[in-house]
Amino acid sequence: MHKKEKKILAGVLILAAMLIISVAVFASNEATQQASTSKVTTITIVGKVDDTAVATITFPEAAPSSTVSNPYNSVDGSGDPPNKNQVVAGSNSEPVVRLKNTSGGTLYVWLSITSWTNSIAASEDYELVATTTTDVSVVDDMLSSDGNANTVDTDISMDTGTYKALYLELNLSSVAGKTGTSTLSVLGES
Amino acid sequence: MDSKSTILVSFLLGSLFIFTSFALATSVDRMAICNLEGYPGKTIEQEITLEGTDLEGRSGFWYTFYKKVEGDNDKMDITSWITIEPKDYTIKQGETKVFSVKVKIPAKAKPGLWGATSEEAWKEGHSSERRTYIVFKDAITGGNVYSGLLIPVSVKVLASPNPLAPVINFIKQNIMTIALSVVIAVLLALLLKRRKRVSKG
Repeated sequence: MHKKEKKILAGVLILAAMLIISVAVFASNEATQQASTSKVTTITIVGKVDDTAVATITFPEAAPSSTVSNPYNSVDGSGDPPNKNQVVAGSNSEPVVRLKNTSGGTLYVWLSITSWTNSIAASEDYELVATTTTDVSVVDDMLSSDGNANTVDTDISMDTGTYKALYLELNLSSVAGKTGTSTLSVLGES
Repeated sequence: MDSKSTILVSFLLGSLFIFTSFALATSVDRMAICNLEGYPGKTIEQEITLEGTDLEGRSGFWYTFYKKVEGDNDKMDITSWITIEPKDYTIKQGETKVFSVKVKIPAKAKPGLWGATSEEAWKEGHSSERRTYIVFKDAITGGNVYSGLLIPVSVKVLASPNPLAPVINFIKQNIMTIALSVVIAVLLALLLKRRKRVSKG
């Protein structure tokens, strides 16, 4: 074999070795990392005192075209204050329910209602405030301007583990002698 | 401590567990389904899981929601692309349920981001960049007060695929190996050619 051939062969062997090395995987120093995220849960709708889930909210019977400001929830029941029906007043006001953020992070609150049946509602309003606020004398943030289904972004956030107080007010239509129903939804957004 | 005191203490301690029922809610395993990628005409499928944590059983359902903002273009509302199965559910404490979220990209969809104004929409606090959502909500069975979560969805529609894309990707991923193999092949060819010339001579 000539010198030149030997040189070419040596070059081939070197390149082949480089190829093998480039394909081989070398174990490097490794350190295990671990991370976890907290649970994301829905906002719970609870009673005025206990953290018991509320199933229903009821507006008492009232005259057509009047405003109903004293709904009550299924946990606390109806009756005179304290801790029964909602109270809208300049002092000692009480919400209809409290909202609690049990999620692992901050949630922004959306409210949504389905259309009131039997055209019983002319409109519905809300106030969402800190639970320490006890001077809610006006409930006028629009939830539904005509009693039909609507979804509103309250632009109010809840940090994890915190509460808010929700007030509701229903303006009845002129329909008489009827009962209507609707569902209220409290939605969270991260 | 006499037996009456023991009974009283036991009753008081026991009543803590009997009368206190802490309300929890339903948890979900993801807060956003954003920046999905797919070609026009294709369907993307994702799974999402709910876990019941409430002491009482809850009944609920899924639906899609478009947050209309003035000035939105036609790429923001992709609610018609999305189906969730099963739509209705009931869930008990400790139970998990898996749902399939299918996003069918129309054949005529143009490339770009759909359903959100930014690829950052999945991040916490970026609500203003979101437009299309899937929503689940549930209530104590028989109740009229629901709670739920809004989960943003966005899709990056890709331009139609290049038929040579797999070959190009393979070359890109193995460029060093291919280059060395080519050099080796050329050198071996030179060596053979030289051997032939020597043997003829």
